[in-house]
Amino acid sequence: MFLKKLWWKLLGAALILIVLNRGLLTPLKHGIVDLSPTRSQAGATAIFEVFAYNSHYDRDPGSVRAYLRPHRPASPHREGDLLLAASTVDVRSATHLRLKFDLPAFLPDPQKLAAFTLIVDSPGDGPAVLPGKLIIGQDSIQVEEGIRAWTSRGSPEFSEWRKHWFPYRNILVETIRNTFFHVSLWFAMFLLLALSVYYSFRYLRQPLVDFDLRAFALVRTAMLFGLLGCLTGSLWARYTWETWWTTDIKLNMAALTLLIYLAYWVLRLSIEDPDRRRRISAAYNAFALATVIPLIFVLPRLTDSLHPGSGGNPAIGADDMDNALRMIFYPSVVGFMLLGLWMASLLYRVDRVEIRLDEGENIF
Amino acid sequence: MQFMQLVRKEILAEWRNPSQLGGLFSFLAGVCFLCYFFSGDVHPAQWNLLFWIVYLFLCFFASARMYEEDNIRYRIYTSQLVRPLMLFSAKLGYLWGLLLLLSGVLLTLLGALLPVPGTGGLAWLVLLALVSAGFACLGCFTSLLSSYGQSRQMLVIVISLPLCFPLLGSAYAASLELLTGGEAWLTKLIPVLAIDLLALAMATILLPLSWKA
Repeated sequence: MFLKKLWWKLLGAALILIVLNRGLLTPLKHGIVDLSPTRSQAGATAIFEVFAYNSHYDRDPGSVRAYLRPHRPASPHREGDLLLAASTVDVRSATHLRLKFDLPAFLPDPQKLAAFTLIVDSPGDGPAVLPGKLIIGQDSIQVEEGIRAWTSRGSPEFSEWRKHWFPYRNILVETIRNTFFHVSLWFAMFLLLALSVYYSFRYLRQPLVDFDLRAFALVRTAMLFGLLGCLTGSLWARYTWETWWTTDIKLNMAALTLLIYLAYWVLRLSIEDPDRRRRISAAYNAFALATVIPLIFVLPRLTDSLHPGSGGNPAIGADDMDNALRMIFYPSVVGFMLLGLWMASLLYRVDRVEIRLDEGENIF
Repeated sequence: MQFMQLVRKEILAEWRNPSQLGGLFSFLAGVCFLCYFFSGDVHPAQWNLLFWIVYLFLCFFASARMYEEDNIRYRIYTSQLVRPLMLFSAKLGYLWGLLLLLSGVLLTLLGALLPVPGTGGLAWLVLLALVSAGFACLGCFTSLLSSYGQSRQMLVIVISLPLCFPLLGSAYAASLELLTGGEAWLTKLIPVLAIDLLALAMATILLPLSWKA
């Protein structure tokens, strides 16, 4: 009986602990931070300095391999074939390589300048990719000759990924872990707001104090989650966009959502009669959610945004998010939702006790 | 019939106390002159911003008065004579007309003092009619809610300002398209219409529930 009431709280706490543990302690896969120089010429012998993150090249220096591949191949069906291996791989340290490529005289591209992707494969770390950073120029264009020269003799076998490590993404780097907190907090906030509207409607149909207390507790918890979502977003923006706040539409619409619920609080404080306060704030709460929907889900889609899912940025669809991230992300969403419900239920119980004490009831 | 009588009552009440309407028009003229005096030549985007900011203030001032005379005793009396939804519809209709008039004057005055191309025509009329309908609905509803609280005028602004943003944002995008000669203004009116309908539907559902004491 005791566990029957407790199971969802225990599940929420367990999920949050798992998210904190795995989300913060799982390392990132190895990635290429920088390449220098970033321009070269077809027909030349090019030497590149490569700096990596979370790599262990010095463990088995003889097995590290590097390749160049056209970033956007002229004929897509040949993508897998067009690969140029580095003639020399000089391991300078665990995170530093010096690569030598004998670039063919022609590129497999009909343009004078073409972008190339660097792939570094290390047995301990798996492959790492730096897409489109290297630009190679050519004096004359002979695509067929280029394709012949860039076609690899036999396809190389890459080392195995560390499947459960998080992906390395340039710009995001370690902040990719914030996905588990920033996004989950917003998802949980919407669930709490939707539930509060449900209780507001129930109060409007059947004016029981309990419904209003539940709605108010859910709104307060949702506001806390929204505030934390804003703070984690701002911190993330500082590291990835180099600013604490931008004019990004989703960011500002989210801040407006908080303002709407701040106004809800002001409205509650300004009405003295408790019955009227409950009824009016329930009506405002329902009306507010109807405004929040276009604010968060419609308006940001009509314009470009730096956020995922808008302006051509990837979201959390099937092809956008790494499976290792999903393993933590989904539990974190459920965990924060359950935690929010737990917090709201505590606030509700405190309010209920206060009302009973005000009425002079002996609760002990 | 009853609807028309209630709208007439609103117009009569306004007519018998002309200082409030006069104040709104004075504010409008004064702000337009200030914009002209301090702005000089303006870019269409700046003109657009000025227009909607002044419009927003006009909306607040106009809608904050909607349930002003409605103290609790008077409300009980009124609710026995007419259905709350009918009274709300009449106030909404009156406020819509008032906002349309104010926005038309604002458009003419600001367009004359700070001329930019693309301020006029049927497209603007359609836009202002739709935006005014949405603002009238939001204004009437928040005015009703705040009429139960203390310091009503301030409360109307506090609770309606964040609610107005989706509508204001959509209206701003559509009017900027008109000012810059873009073709997509009609497409950009769709969110305005959607928000209008959403606000109207929510007000219609919630009004009978929030009215009862």
